[in-house]
Amino acid sequence: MITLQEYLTVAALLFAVGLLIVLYRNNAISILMGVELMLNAANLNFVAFSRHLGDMGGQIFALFVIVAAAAEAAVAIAIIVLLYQNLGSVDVEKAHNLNG
Amino acid sequence: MGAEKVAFYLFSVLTLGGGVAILYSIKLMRAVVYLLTSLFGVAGLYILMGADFLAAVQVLVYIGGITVLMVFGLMLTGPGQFRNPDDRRLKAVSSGVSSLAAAVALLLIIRRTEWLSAASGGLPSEGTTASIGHLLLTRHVFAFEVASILLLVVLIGVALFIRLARRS
Amino acid sequence: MNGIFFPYLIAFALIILFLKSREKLALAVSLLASGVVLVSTAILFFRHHGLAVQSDMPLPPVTYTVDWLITRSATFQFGYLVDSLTVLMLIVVEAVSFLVQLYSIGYMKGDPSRARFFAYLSLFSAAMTGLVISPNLLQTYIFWELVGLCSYLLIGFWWHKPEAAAAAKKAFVMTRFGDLGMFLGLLMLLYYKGNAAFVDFASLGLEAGLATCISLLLFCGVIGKSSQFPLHVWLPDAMEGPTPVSALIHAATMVVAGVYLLSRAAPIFMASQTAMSVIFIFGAVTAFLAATMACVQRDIKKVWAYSTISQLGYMVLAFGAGSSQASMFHLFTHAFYKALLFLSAGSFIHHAHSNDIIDIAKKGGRGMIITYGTMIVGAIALAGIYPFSGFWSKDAILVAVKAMGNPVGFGFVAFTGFLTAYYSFRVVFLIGRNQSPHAPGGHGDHHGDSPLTMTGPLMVLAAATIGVGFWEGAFGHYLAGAAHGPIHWDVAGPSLILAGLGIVLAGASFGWNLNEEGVVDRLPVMDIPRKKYYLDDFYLWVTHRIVLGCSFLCAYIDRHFVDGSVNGVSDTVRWMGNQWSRLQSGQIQLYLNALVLMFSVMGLGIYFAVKF
Repeated sequence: MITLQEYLTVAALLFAVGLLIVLYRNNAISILMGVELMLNAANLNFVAFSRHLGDMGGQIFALFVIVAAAAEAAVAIAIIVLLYQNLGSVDVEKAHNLNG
Repeated sequence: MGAEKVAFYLFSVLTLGGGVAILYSIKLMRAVVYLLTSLFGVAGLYILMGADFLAAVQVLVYIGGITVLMVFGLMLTGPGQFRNPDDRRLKAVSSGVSSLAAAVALLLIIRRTEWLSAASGGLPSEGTTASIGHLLLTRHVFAFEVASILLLVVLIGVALFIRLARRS
Repeated sequence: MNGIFFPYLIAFALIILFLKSREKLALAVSLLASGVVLVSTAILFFRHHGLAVQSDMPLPPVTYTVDWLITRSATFQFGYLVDSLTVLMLIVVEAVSFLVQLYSIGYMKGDPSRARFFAYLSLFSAAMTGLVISPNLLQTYIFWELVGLCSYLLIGFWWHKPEAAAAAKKAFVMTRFGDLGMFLGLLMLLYYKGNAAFVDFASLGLEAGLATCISLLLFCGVIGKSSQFPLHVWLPDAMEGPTPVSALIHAATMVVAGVYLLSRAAPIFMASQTAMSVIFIFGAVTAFLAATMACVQRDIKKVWAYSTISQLGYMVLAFGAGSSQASMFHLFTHAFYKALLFLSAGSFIHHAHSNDIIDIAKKGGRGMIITYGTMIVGAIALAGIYPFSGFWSKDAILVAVKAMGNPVGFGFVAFTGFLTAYYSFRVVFLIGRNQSPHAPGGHGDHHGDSPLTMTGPLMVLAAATIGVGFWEGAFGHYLAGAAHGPIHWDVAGPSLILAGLGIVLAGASFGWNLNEEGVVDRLPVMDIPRKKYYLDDFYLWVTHRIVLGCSFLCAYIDRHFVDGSVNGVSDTVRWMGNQWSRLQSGQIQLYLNALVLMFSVMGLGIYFAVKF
């Protein structure tokens, strides 16, 4: 039997990796990838608890998370493409108009 | 070692390894592929946990949809600039510290918390699809409908977005 | 009685507030106020004198006060004090004020600010009157300062003239120095005795050391206000003001406030032999130095200004010699003949449009009969010739000095008398000799004399100058109960001889020729008086080096340290702000980083807190 803690550990580590990617990489699409990893980590948590508690609600929720992630990725790609058109690059370190 | 454990470790390595590989990859197309790998690993973990429908949705939507979308995005925005790793040491350190702190916090909580004992019976063994379908249309119908509206809005919104941008 | 200066105050207020442009009305109001006060003074005098004669001894003073400022250590009162000294001073002040106001109608004719002039004259008379009737030293001080202010306003009346503005400032600042000492003396008196009322002075019981200290401090105020050496330099410069001002303030009233103070606070001064000697020395030195400076002036007003300083020195030294009566009597006579001399000078100036004696002579000064005649009367009195009033008061002073028993002092004072006669008749002869290159006999009197409003007061003052002298004995009796005295020929004789010599010298130098310089002028030693004994230069040096040096130092400190620290605080804050704003780099990854770190730390913290 694989315990709950083991699944949760994997999810936590995946979350940390995703966080690292978001904080470190400066290409916008790379950041998007990191975000997806984090979402997946959260999903893993949901499903692990659903299995542990015998409640299907966790999986339903994970399903909806996937739906939302899809929508969000679509919008994000659209924004990134526009950003590229305006700024000439997708480097987030170049997009600092909100500074000061 | 039971087969279950082996599978678990395999899928975990796939997931986490893919993630770490994204971190170190220089060429972005490779990064997308590593993402793909990682998502496959997650799907495998879902199957291990008995969420078969969810695993299928994961592969279909995430891998088949979002990853492809990212490839399109990459195509449209170019390969990106290579940065000298020496300039980025401060950033590396600070982001490493932050995520390490987050990881440590989470792991500690996971380790030390006394989780409730496992429920008896576990999950239905004949597959979850039917029960998910049933629940979606009874208990969670409202969320279901809202999700579909969300998708509709996103569809229209993005199309409008691009069209407006093209006009200006 | 209490509101005796109210008419003046009302006149001042009315004119300043409403009547600046309605000249004739302003003149009328002011003159009316002056007249009212003069009449009430006259009534007061006759009644008081009548009572004094009846009881055949000096009347006790009548006091009326209200408690005005009540503190733990002392109670300050406001009110009036009337005794024979007060009445005499009031006569001087009100009579001269009235005559000067009358005179000013003619003198200031055509001046656009004539109404303002009368307003200031009224204010001054109010202040002087208040000073004279003060029952205690504090009230005296208040009016003392007010009088100083009026002096400033009146000297600088033509404020667009830079010399006048500078002279007004100089007068005010120099008298302020003296007033500082006076205030310290007042404070000491209040601190040690808690009482500054004049009626209580005789019974104060001050020991000699304290009396000396307070006396010398109070005397500082006298040095400043009554223009003694070394604070006399403001008075000649004060001649920049209109001549009626010079006559009123700087001859008859304000400058004598110091002498009045001496007599009022006499018990304090007389308690200290040291102070009396110091006072005598200051007075004698002032009298002598000023007389020398008067001998070499070409400006007629400056001659009389230095003369005033010299005669004030006489008054002060008379007090120092022990005779308050001689001092006050000289004040009384001097007021009349000096006012006369100034007003006649003003008449000459008005006619010749120049202050220079030679110019006045050239423009037909000697043809102005009333003016010239009254001036001669004043000069004779100043020189101290029998039987004019100056003789009597000078005689009284010399008697007191002789009684001191110091032959050097007596000789000094007597020699100053010689100089006095010389310089006064120098002016007489310079104007009086026949200047015209054409036929002798007054070619210049086709202009005639000044209007009656100007010559009238001259005649009144001349009459007073001649007549007052005979009152000497009665004066002393009225003032302090001394017996009538005969003429002291052992003193009067030498003084008359010296005066005569002075007149002869003046006549010989200037009377029969057209010299502008006489024997005395050509003496090389006379360069020093001509340069005013370098005193003005000294003061200027002190101001520039020491006072301005300190100012620059303070300005430097203020700019660099005080402002620096204030600016430094704001600069530091701004610097900090700049540093903080660098955190807002616009980089979302940075923000996210900080957020995650914070939350992790918080989470860990809560975890550990809960665990333990």
